[in-house]
Amino acid sequence: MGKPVAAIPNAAEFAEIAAQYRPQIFRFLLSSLRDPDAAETLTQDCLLKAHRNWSSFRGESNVLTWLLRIAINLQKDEWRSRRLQFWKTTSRNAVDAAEAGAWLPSGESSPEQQAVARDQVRLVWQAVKGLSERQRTVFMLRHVEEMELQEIATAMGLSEGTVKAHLSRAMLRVRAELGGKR
Amino acid sequence: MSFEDNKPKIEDQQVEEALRNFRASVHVWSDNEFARPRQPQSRSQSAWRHLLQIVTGPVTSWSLAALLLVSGVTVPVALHHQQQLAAAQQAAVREQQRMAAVASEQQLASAISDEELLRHVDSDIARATPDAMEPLASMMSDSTSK
Repeated sequence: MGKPVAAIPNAAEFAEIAAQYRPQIFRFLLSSLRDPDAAETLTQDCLLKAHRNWSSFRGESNVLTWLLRIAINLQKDEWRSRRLQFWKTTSRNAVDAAEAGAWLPSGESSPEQQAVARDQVRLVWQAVKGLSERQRTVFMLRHVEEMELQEIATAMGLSEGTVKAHLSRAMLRVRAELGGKR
Repeated sequence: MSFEDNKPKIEDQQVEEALRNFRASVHVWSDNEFARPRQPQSRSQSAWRHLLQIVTGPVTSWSLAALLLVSGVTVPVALHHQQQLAAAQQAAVREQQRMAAVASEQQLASAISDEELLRHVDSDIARATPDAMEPLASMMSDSTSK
């Protein structure tokens, strides 16, 4: 017996789903690509693809994991096309690590604490830049989206062991970058 | 607890703190970008963007690069070949002109020698007494004068 197919939502229901998950998909794509325009475009593509292929969603995972799986495939294609471009750095609006690291919550911390935090964020971005595509995706899903390893494995179509290995290598790099600073 | 026992714990805490700050930073950045109003692109703008995407697309850009590479090699070779052909043609024309000049000079020279020969023959024929008969002719003139 086949697995039950999730009920196809009507336009209003899908709009609700899109509104609910759109910020999270955008955030994952933004952190992966560091390009707000590309992240916006791919978020729209992701939701469009999800709407078209809703019948293939079997309800084995939650909706967000399924949507992130589509987003991961889209960002993979985006990176592949960027790699093949000669002028990838100039043709895109990618933000560099220092600029991305400048964002911090406007808390009650002192200017010194803010400076330390900014430096830490910059170093983490520096480490992320050196990660492979898979390591970066696993790292972002774990430490930005705070997903469980099993969910990451489902979203990426990998085994949990492979996810652990990628995460461990990513963390080694992050530690090395943070340690090198001290 | 010794300092050594504390060391990895402190590192972990610092890494955790850095990751917490990183997460917070990405969330703030994303919220800001998400809330930022994006102007809808005009039709012509999107057409330009589409064109730019086609040009900067991997297939097109590699094709353009290959075309540039091929033309970069073949155009100078073709130009060099054409220059060589033109030089050869000019050399052939010059050689032809030189040959024609030589031929005309030869013709002129031979015409002059013919004229001289005819003049020589004429002068020979025009003489009153041939060389062999010269002594006799002089004797005859001597006797008539006496």
